[in-house]
Amino acid sequence: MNEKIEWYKKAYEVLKGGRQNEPEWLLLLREEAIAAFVRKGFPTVKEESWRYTDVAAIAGVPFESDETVPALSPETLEVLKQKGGGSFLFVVNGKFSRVHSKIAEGIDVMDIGEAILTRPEIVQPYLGFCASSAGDAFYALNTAFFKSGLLIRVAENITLKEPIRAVFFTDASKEHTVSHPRNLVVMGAGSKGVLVETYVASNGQSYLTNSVTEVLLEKGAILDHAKIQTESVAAFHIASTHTLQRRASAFSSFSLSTGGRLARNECFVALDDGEASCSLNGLYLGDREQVLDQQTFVDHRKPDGNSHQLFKGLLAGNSRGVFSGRVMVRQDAQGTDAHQTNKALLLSDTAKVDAQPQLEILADDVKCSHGAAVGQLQEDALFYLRSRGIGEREAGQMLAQGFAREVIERTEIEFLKETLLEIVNEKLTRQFGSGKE
Amino acid sequence: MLQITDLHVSVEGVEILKGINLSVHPGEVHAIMGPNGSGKSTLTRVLAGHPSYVVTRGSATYEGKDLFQMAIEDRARAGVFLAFQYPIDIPGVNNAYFLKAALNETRKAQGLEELDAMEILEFLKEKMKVVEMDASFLSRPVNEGFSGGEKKRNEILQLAVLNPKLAILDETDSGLDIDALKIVSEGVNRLRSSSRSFILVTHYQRMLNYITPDHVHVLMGGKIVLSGGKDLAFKLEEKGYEWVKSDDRP
Repeated sequence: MNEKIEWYKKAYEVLKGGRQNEPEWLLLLREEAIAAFVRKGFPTVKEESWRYTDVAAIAGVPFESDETVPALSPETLEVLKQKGGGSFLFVVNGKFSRVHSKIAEGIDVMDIGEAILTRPEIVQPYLGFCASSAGDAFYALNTAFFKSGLLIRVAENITLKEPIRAVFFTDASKEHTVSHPRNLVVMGAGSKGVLVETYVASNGQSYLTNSVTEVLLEKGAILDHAKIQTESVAAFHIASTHTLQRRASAFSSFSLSTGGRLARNECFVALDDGEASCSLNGLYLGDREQVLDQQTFVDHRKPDGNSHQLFKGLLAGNSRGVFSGRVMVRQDAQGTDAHQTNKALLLSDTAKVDAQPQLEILADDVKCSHGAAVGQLQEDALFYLRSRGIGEREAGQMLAQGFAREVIERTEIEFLKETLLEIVNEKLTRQFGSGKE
Repeated sequence: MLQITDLHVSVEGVEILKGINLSVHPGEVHAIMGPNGSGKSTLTRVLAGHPSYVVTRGSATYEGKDLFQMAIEDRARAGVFLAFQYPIDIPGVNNAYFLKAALNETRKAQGLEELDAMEILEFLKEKMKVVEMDASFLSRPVNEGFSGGEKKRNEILQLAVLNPKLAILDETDSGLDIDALKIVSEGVNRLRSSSRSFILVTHYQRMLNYITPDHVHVLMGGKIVLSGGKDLAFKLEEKGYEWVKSDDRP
């Protein structure tokens, strides 16, 4: 066992001492998780799903949980709150802060750590149930270490009129802190809602966000989900969303990734019953030395499902993008319609992207397609814009924005589009704007 | 307004233009005709500043300035406009946004106030009447999914909006049916003025049925081999470009 792994093992043992009141089933899950982590350690580039993303920088540092809830400036809170109505759930340094939150009617929100102790029966059937990457080191660390996170339940046939916004805020004033938020979203049969997760931080030290979100969509449920990752430039961000869909349910997701020194966004969807559909879309914008990694896995298990994926990357500086999209169509999943597209624009000569589509089709009556395109700003398009009086940088930015807008238009969450465009434009302005060639 | 002298231009090391001389004065309409591959489009693109074209000899002076020393956008802001033969699709950028950016950049360069969103919209709607375009075009991405005729009308709309001093139209008539050709030609005619000059590049004479040029030039093998008045176009239509090379011509 190398010393870093031993460090995590010891930290786990210390925590375990204070967990006597946790239910047996959870302790068992945690034991299995830490054992799996100790056995395998952090992934290396020799592993297929990690071949383009080297996490040595994470593995080399003993990240520690920070238990203190920082004093938040009133300005910070206001800014975080004012983006629309509906429920606002605030998670700070991985801990759900009820006092900073506002919970609208129609949903049931609890701290998952609290729910485990007080109402284990509503957590046990679901925790770890949707997850399809139990062998992954970061998933295992989350399971072994999580203390808090959001448990969100929407009852049968409830249609939420307003969105649920969850903000995961890291106070990065201390170096090498880690948070392992664990979220569970259970959408009852026939329910409908919108969930927007945002990951942000105060500028400062290096930290690790290692979040896991599990989503269960019961029969006919509809969830429009977005994840906005604008962590600080010193951050490491590893997040996975695991969605399990019952019959005729519909899941849409949009992930925007602009922050972090190294950020990995994993989106797993299992269409576990017939006629379920999902639409996964994403946009990643990198510059400087950023590494932005997107992983998707859509598992078509039953007939007549459909999945549509569009991911786009805009990479400047020495940044690096990864898109790995796996689609599995099992033997039972006749009548499946599965499409995947990945496009990337390289805005510098030193930016790089690796795209890896993987289709495994075991059924015969299916429609599947995938496509990947990597290019640069089109010279003819630049010429066209400049010939209309638009400056060279502005023309480049306009083309990049247009490229981004195409995928932003795909989100089902109308009110979010403007916010997404603003975040994108802000980042592009830094890339194309003054002081940077 | 524009003085081209002994202009030689190469693309990827191949010389396309081999000594062009042309003077365009304010208010004049010049038609440049010629067979395919004669260098017509090269001439329009080099004037607009396309980076693939290299000037190996000669000069072009626009309003007393060396055109080839000016950046692409600076030429546009100074009043040079090229209507593209094949307008480029700009996915994700809507027409109104694009036109607003182009107009305001140009206005800024001319020392004029930038227009705000509302003012622009009114202005654009007015200009769209010139080419009989529906307002719905404003919210569509630039040229994306436009038919050939719509793309050409969009070019003329930009011409109307940007109000250039020198408008260069590269085969604007190609691919247009007769109705679209009329609309585009009438648009151009309405934009003619004593201070604005046009260079119309075309393969066929048919657009010149609607737009009467002051001068007609024949471009062949990278040179202007023949110049004349508007009647020259009819003669070319009747006798073909081969006639220019034969001894039968005036």
